Amino acid sequence: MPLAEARALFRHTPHIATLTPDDDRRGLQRLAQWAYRFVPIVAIDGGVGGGDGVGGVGDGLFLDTRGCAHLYAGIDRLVRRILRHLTRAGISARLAVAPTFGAAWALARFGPSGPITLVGPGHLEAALDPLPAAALRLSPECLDGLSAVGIERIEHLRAIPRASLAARFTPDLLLRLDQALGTAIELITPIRPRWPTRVEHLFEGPTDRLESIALATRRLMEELATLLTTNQRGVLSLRVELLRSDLDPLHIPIRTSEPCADATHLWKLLAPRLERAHLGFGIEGVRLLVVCSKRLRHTQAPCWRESEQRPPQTSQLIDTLHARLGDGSVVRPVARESHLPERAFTFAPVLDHSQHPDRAKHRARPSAPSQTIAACDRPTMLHATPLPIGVGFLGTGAPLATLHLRGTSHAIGTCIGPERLAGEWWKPGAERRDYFKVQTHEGRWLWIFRTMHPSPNTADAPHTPHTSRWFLHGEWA
Amino acid sequence: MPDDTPLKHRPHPMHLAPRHEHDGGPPPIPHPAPSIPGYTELEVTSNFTFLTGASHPDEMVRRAAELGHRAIAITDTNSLAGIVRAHVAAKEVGLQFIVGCRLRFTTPLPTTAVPLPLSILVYPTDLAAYGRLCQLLTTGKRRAPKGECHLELHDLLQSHQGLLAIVIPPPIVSDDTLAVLEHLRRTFSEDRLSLAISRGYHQDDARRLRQIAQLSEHLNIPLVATNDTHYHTPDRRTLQDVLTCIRHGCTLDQAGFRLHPNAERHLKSPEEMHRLFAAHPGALDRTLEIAHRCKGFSLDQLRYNYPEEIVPEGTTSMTHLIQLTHAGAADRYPGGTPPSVLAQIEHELRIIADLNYAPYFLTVHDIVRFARSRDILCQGRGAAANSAVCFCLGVTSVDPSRSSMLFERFVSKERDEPPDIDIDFEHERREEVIQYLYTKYGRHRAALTAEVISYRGRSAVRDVGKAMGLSLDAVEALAREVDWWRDSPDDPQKLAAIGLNPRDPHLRAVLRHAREIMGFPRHLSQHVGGFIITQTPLSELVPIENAAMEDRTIIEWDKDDIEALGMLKVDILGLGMLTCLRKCLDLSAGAGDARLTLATIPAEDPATYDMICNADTIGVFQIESRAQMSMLPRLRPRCYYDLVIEVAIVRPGPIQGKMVHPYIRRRNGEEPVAYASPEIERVLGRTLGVPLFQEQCMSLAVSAAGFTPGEADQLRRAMAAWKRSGTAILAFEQKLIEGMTSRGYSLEFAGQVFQQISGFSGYGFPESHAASFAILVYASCWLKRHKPAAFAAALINSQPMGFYQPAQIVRDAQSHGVEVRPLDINHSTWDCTLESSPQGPTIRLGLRLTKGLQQAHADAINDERSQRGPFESLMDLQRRTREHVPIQALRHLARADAFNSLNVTRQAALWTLQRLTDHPMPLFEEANNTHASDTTELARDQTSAARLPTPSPFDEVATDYDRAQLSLRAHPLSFLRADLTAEGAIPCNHLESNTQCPAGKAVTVAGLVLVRQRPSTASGIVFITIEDETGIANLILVPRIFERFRSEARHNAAIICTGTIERQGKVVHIKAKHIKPLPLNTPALNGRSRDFH
Repeated sequence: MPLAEARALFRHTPHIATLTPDDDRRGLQRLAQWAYRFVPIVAIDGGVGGGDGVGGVGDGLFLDTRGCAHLYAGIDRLVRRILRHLTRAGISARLAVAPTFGAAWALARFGPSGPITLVGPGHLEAALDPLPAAALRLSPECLDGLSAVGIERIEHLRAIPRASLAARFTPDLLLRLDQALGTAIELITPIRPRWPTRVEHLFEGPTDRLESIALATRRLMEELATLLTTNQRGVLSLRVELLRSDLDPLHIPIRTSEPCADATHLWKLLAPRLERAHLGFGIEGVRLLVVCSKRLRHTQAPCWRESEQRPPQTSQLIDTLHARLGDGSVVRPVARESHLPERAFTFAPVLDHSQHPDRAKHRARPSAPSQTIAACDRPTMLHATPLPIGVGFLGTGAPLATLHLRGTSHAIGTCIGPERLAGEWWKPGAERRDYFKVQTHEGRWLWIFRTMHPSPNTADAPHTPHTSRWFLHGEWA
Repeated sequence: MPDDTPLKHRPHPMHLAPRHEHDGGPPPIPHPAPSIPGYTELEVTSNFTFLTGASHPDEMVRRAAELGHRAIAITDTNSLAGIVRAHVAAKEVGLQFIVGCRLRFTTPLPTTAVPLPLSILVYPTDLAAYGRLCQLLTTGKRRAPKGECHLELHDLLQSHQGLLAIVIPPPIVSDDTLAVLEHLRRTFSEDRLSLAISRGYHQDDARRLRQIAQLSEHLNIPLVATNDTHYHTPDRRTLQDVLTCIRHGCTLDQAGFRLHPNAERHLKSPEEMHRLFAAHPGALDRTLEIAHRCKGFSLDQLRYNYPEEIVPEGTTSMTHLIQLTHAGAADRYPGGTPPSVLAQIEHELRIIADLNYAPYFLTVHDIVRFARSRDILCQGRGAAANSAVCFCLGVTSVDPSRSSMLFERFVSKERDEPPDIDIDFEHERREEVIQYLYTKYGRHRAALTAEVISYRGRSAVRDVGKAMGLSLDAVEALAREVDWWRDSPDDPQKLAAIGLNPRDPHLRAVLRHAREIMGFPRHLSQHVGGFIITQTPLSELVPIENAAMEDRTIIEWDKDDIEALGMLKVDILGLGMLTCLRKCLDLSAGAGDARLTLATIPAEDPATYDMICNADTIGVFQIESRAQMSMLPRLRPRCYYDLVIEVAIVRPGPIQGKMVHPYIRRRNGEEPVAYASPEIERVLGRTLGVPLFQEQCMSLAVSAAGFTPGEADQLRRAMAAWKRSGTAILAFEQKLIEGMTSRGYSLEFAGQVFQQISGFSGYGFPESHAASFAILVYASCWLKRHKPAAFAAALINSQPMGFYQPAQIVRDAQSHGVEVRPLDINHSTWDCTLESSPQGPTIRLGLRLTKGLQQAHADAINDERSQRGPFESLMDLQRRTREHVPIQALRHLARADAFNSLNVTRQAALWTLQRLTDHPMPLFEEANNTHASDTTELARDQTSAARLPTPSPFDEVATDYDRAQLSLRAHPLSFLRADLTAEGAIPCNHLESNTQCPAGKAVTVAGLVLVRQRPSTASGIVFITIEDETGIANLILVPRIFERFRSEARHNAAIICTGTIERQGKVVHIKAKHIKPLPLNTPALNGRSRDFH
């Protein structure tokens, strides 16, 4: 169904999102990692028609629950627990437990309504019989062929001699049937569990002695640094957890602007915050958890000046400032495409971890501009608010002669312009400006402009349509 | 200043304003005083550089005239698409128009891989140079995909003769550029090259000006001032920004440096340009010099040459035409040509000779002659039916002795425009005619005209909304409500109703720009069938580009442009009903009846009119729609002319002009027929005093208000453009009312006549057109009445066409006593055929109804059957057709249940076919090829097939619908009847009885949805026709109900509806109150209705 038609079905505009198979797959992989907390083997469903389960990627997970049930006092309690966790995470799911993967797949999708289906070994066939043939993970062509001759359900299939089926349909059909019924082996390919990088130290008893906590944490930092260096990864975001004896654990987040595996630097960022931490009645342990890391950039070791200290990096300064001043206090200017000087740049937080590093490359990039900033001569200093100035002419229609700024008059030597900027009309307060680059007799290069159409906000200000108002906007230093 | 009325479709400048030649009045914009300094803008980008220029070419021209320019050029990028409009506008305001073009090149520079950053403006100085420019653009366009032009500098260097050129220097002048400039200067000798300087109020303007001046001195290329104009007034700058965003697919906020920094790229007055270029007066004089040198060429010089091969050796085109006309007249009137027709022919021939249009008529005659020779049915429509010559030449079929002709509607001396003949051909065979034209005249002499695809309401608001950063939801909400905001965009209540803040200035800006952009061209597309044919190569007349369709080439101009330049165009159109009629005549001739043609179908047959009066018109031409069918019992047509009226009256024009009810009342004698004067009676007598046709309005203007026929034709044009431009017709209001009152009519009557005329707006039907169509209406009705089997079979064979699906056509045929036999592998061909039976002809359904089957496979099966007898079994069929027919095709046939004559059910056939493959294993092939092995195999199949579940009768019917489009077993709803009765639903045929279902009674009916319609004239009312096993029911959904049950009403294959009965004579409607879906648990029936979207 085309989107337009689907839209027409609704009285109100529905929420529309693009299907992104890659994101879906990543999500499923994360969910699979998460499922390792319940069972020892987790695999991603190979999808319909995938044959041996490695072909495509479906929309489900296989959890091998053999030997797990007793840990949770019964398989039903395990399943309910999984469902509860999923629901809490905002994921609606259907779970089925069956003696074969095939049957579980079928029951989860086509079984009786309700989020959980449990089928014991003796009831497999009875449970499968009423399900549609599609529950066998068959290709659409195969299903089409089956439905053409009136075979709708699994019981119909089982009623027909195997030889007749084999002569008419792909071998897949019998394999899938057998896999569901447990007469053929189904191999699943578990995904490899990835454990988070973390180190921890437990004290023998609760302690509130800062020195020992600091010492332990420094050691952990070094341990972590070694771990990271061997994996060639650097930390971008680190969580320091202080396990307090009588309170919830205290989390201290640490962020760096560049991947970092340097224990000293990390310690420098943490130390001042550790001092300020509320330790309660003492802490029982310290844990460092890498939240986000990135491949470490290789640096060439200096060849001749072995002993020389590496020059301090800007990134370290940024990190330190950030750690001291807090989120959002350290910003850097970013160029924006706009003809208006005050809109041609913006400030962005220097550590923006709201954007996952993997996603950064997806960010929309501006296409090649027709005219670059480099082509314009812009002053090195810009006044946040243009300063009103007065100007004097030699006569009507003659060039600018003097400029009155803060009670002082400046004679003008050179005047370049006008550069006409019509403003961003789709924003309120747009006005047309004529910019001039002028040199005073003292040799200062100033950037001044006159407004042609006063903005509605300043409409009360006394002016006549024929007098334009003049402002100083910047200066070349 | 620009028009402030929003235009849905911007009319060609030719149609915009009435001509002033006849008034003798001054042109609307006075000439400037000659004392002011001169300047001519030579770098003008109009909106035919798509999504770049922000003004129409004619707006540019008009503005230039207002500002006191004496000439203007249009230089769109690699295109001449907008020049005709500018030319027409320039002629009107008395300005010199300079044809120009901006060339952009794709070749890299000699030393680097970057494309040549120069753009060069070129202007032809004579006809030959113009031809070279067209040829140059054609070359570039033909080698590029549709809509692009790949030019190389080398191409220009080869066809530079007679062209003046202006080089726009790139931002950074490299050594490469210098070399190219040197080369260009040498090529464009005789001082034909100039270097452009412009002042855009950029920061480095002064420096750049100095640089280019130095360059000019260094290279010895004169400077010329331009303003790189993109819009005609500065206030269009915002629109230009929006266009830029649409072009780049970004929003205004993201656009950044892609937008121009200021609003300076508008047309400026000569004084302003002199102020700006005070330092370079020579550069301004150069513009005048270039304009002067371009005076050598004007589009008026384009001489259109008619093709010559249509005239036999040794005779002139006129004598040949006279011969052909008289020969044709002798054929048409075997009993001698009536004197009135003879006089008409003489009158027409005189005008044709005066205007030298004989070759045109001969060209059309040649096309029609070709079609006749191939047995392709064809018929001229439209204005050409006003011509007795066309009738005699066989182009049209409307007998001039039977209707009144207004030849001036077709050709008029005042207009001096070539006539426009539209010819309908059988839609399946139109391509043969098109290919004939290409072969006869060659691709260099024949091409399709373009159609300028412009922004319309919905696309305008979508694109503008997106570019201005509106959320997609808001854009969709606006686009959905496009109907009202086009007319009253500032209605705050309506905006608030769709959840938008009417006070938001941004939203208002969106609406303002959306209105402005409407009528802006977006791209060129191919016209449905407009052909232009020339004697000399077409590519010297106009650039030719590739069309989206393979093997089609289109010229850059659309039909209005061509009309403005006086070129010949023939519309080769396709009409499904002609295909159907031809097939029907063939079928009935094949069934042993006497061979009929359209001309020999018995005229004025009462039985046929009885059928029409009963609205029993499913499948016939034109009068099969719901609106037509409900009108038929009220109008009760009894003769051919009644059909002409019937065709014309159910049209938006007469409906909106409120002429339908007066006419019906007068016809039924409920209202006296009175005429204000004998002249009026002469004009309106045929339609009982109610003007129904365009021609009548024209005649009325001539006889009652003293218009000349040429003026009356302008009135017609103004009528057609009234909805769009609004103002043109007002000029005629005065004239019409004055003319009528001075002739003694009352002011009230004159005003009433004018109201009726303007009510026609763009939707009036010309009588000639209705007359052409009525011929087909009658022919199809006669065939339906007297050859129902052949007609139904032909209709199915011509699908897709018309309102109805094969299932309804078959059911209608059955209800007229025609036996319909199922499709079968041993009896059917691809098409439906007629078989004889004691009861008369019987329809045998064709294999074409089978879903998924290719015609080649069906034909292969037919060939085998006709050569070696019927098939005995499935295996027999498979073995005999294995070479040509894949198993998959047999499976399609099995699913359509085509094996009944082999005594195999659908399920059993599929079960067997499922086992077979296209490539049997070679080892077993021999063994498989015996009859004995067939038998054992089939027996084994039978045993295993017995284990398959038995399909229910409903499943069988649903599969029939899915795989063969219809079922002869039962109607799907018959299986639900018990449930429906329990729900209180009555069968549809109960509605016919007045006693069971009196008006006003609440009833519930259920059925499959056949047709959904939302006529534009019905103010949002939706009509739905449903069908159950007993008949059909017509539902009316008022907008409120439709909105409430939108998804139910719009997307269900079957619905159950409760409502009250409305009766008008025999016509029964149900005014719906409640609708719910009817669960037919199968997808097979979905998506079968003909819907309005």
